[in-house]
Amino acid sequence: MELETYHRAAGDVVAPGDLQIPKARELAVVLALDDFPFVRLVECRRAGDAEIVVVDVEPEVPPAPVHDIRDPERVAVTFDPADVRQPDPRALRTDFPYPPHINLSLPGEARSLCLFEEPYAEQKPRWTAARFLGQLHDWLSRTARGELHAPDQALEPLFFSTGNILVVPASFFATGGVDLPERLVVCAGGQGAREQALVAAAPGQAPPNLETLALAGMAFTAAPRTHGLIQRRPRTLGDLHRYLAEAGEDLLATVRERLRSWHRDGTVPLDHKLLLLVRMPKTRTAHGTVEAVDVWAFVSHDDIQTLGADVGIWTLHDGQLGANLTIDEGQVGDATDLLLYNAVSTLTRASAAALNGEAGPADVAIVAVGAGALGSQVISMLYRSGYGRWTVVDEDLFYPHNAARHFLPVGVGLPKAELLASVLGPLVDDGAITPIVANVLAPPGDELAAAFNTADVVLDASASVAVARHLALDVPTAARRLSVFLTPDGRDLVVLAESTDRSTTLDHVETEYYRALVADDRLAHHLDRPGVGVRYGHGCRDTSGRVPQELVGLHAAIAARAIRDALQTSSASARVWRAAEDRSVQVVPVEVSSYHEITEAGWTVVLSDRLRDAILQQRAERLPNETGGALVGAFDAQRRRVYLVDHVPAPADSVEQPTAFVRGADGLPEAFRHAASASAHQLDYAGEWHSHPDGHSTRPSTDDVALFAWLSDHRLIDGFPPLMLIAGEGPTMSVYLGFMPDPDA
Amino acid sequence: MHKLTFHNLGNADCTRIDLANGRKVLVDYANMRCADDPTDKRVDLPQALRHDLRLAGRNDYDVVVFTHLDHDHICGSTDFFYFEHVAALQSDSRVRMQEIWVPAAALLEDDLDGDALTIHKEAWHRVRAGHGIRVFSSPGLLTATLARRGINPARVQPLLVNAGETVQGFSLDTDGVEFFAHSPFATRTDRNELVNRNADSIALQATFLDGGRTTRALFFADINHDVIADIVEVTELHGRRDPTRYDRLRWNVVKVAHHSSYTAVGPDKGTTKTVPNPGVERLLEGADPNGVTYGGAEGSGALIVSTSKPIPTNDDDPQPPHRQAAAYYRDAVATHSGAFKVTMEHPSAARPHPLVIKIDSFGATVEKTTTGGGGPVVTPAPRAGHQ
Repeated sequence: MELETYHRAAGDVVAPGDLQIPKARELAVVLALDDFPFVRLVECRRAGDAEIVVVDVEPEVPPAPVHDIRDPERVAVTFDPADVRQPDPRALRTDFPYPPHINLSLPGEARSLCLFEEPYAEQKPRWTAARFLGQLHDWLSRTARGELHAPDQALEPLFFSTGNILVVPASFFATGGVDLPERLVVCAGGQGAREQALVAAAPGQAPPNLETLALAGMAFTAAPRTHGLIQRRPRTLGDLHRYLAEAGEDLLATVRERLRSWHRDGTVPLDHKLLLLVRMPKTRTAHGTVEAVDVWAFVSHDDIQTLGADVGIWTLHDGQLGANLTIDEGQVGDATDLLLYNAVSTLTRASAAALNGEAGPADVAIVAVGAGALGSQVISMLYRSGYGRWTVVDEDLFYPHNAARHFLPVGVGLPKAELLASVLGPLVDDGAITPIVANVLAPPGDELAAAFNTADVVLDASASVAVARHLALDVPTAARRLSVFLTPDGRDLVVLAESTDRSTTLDHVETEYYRALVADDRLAHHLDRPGVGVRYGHGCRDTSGRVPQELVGLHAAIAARAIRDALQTSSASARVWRAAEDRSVQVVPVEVSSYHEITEAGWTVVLSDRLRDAILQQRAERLPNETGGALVGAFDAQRRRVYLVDHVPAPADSVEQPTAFVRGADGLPEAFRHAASASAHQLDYAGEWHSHPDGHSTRPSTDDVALFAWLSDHRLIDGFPPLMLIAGEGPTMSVYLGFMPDPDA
Repeated sequence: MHKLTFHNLGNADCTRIDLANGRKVLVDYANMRCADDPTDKRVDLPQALRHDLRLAGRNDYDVVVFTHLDHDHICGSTDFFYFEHVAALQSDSRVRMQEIWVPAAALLEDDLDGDALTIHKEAWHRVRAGHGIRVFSSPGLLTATLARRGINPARVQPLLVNAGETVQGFSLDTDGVEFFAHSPFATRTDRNELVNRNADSIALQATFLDGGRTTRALFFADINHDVIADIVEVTELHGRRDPTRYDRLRWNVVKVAHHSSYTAVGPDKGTTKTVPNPGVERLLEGADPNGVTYGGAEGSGALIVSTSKPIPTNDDDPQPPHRQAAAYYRDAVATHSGAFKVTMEHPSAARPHPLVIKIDSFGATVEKTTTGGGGPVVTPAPRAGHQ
């Protein structure tokens, strides 16, 4: 049997009983119990204040292992006295392979096995020596079978990260062809508890608020390579060059060419350091397609002047630079130490969608009107999940009191729309969010008009009925309209959506929603107003409602999902979500009838099909008598539209005869008081309806004319036109509004 | 994946073959554990088997092989199985045998008692019924006995399996396994006239296919070195005409005969290592006339399994296992970079548990399950926010 050669474990041998670090002791004790098959204690050691337990592990090794794992493997587990770093298992066999899930180690060091995906702090509460041994055994056994790295798992980074990060534009990570900038600028990010951050960008595209560093960046794309094969970290530019040269690439030539051109053109001062971004396309198998691109960032320890000398393009004499006529090929960058940064991609709409568990980003063009408490939070959620290309319209400034219930964390005194765009915009590399500071009720400027014109969706988040109506009826665009708003106390969320073909428009859906408030007991007290508002200024209207941000945030999340859902279907929809005191939420779907519109005497009568069917049915039930009642609806005096939504059947004291109908009044005032209060006076008395018997037209009779005159007198008080609906034989139905034709004409 | 489970029963046999398609074959059943001795390290066989059946949602085996009627291969069968020949052994809790495989000797022996008598009667019952049994070898004596019992030998013919044949009912295509009968030879039984139980026990080769890889296992019951040498000789004789017959000697797993008795290796125990019969040596260390080794075939591994007590360090006990035989097996399997496994030593003599050999696209691998570790066990309950 061949003898294995092992790395020497550090330190000196100590007796298991002499171990001081609790976890090291626990491991030694567990091994001494002899309870665990396939693991044996070899020895215990102490090196400085660290302690080491050396074990022989007998993994499950198949006859033809994928990775050269042997039975047994000797592993030294090093324990940190402070227990901050996790116990570090090192495979001591000198020819231990380079399978996936090996921690970065220096050349000549024993390989460190990456046993756990979770941060150590997460493992700690459940760390036991027995579990550790089990995981170690499992790691070796599964690695032997090549099953540790699942086929559907993402490819491993070629080098293990050191912690410091460099934020790089997402395009650098694209697997296809990429136009790389010739030069990159680098800005200082922050310093976290564990790592430091830099941000790299093409010139002119760096975040404006960050300090630019004396670092010049260049990018280099390597040839594709198989993942999991290279684990050794290059220490110098020469190292990196030789590593890339194995695949036939000449990094040095590129560096030399770039430095000379920067020097010649004076683009980069010589006291800058060099940031080297190496793009390494990765394949799963030797001839597979490129599945991912690793971007590795190296920052030179020395400045470009020194670096240039180390790669032989110039020579330094007493700090003076003398260009070499021919490159000194003996200078290969071996004196240029490189610091490794972990390059992380900026967020893209695609990755934002993936992080949100969505199949992909959505390209829908949305004009959002209203960036208030609800709107800002809905927009931010959708935007940060890669959903939509946005135009945000809002006329308001960000007031101090807004911060109580708003997405925006900063910017008091600035326009909300612009703030929102400036905060959200840079978060997603290829995101689109354009602010327009404008009142949508005013005639639109070119930019707003164009935005409406090219929009797929107009999202009303204005919390204003007037704006919603305006968007539904007055803005010339084929875009589908959606409306989201909260009730005054913030308890209920309402999401209204038109049908895609706009046969049912937002105003129809809104009216149906009012009807549901009257008809559905589950929505009782929906529009009740809470107590007195909070005054934030001296103007009459400078009050703001008392609505908990808890409810706004809760409903914003629901609204974001509801908007996605509504846009997934083509039909119109209305839904109400009601939050309880403990913020649990119940949904009440609202049935949406289709509508027909009839224009009459300068007014448009908007009649729900449900109402029409109900009246025709009552007529049929009462035949041969006439029947009738009152109509429930809403008038829009501004647009001269009347919405007929519902009806009150004949009150008990009505007279129903084959040739006449006299509408009674029993219960009628109560019915309309309820309709008005439940809908906050959006719905009210709209007129009269009655039926004509078979064999008669729906033209008004003499009695009808008299009734209409009576109606006119009463309606004058409200300023609304009289309205009478007559249902006749078959599906005929006539609506008379404002005036009546002469019955004898 | 197929699995072989060799139960730790001391010097006794029970091997379960779990096929990837769910079919189950039991080779021998010997419940050796002293139920009232808590220090007995032998597995509680009926409990272990019932646990496995419960997990599989069944209460029967497709096949139970009784390689021969020795106590250490059948002990406790009467208590465990459902026997069709007698109502007293037919409660629902008993484990049914869809088919039993017995050597012809099991029908021909007399003066039997206990479990052997039960199996003998069951075998005759099934032979008479004409199904649910396969009889290995068809010596002249069997024909005569059938005739004497008034059973038409022609009706029994389809139930007979002769050495050198594959056993009907399993195929590589549908089950991923093929069983080939190496022993008993009818000629041997005829020659002896007197039945020799060990020599006339069933020896099988199982050829497994999984994930495109072939893995072969030899089950040698209690045959001795002479019979093994006969098997090698006869198979090689056929191999000269049909080279695929050499494959019948190839192995990745061998369940050695007779609990590592030297008698399965060679005629003399030896002092430190038994000198093998040349036939045994060729099978375990050598190659076919074309130079292709029998052991470790196709890179699917080499494991020699001794279903026995731990290997002793001295010769105090004349009974197997014999350390000299074990020494030979260790050296032989090392020529194929394989391992010699002893059921009562796995994973340790202090705490043995059943030896499981996984057979899949990697070949034959000894399963090593630790108590701790394992994916989900060490993964914290997921919580959003952590990368």
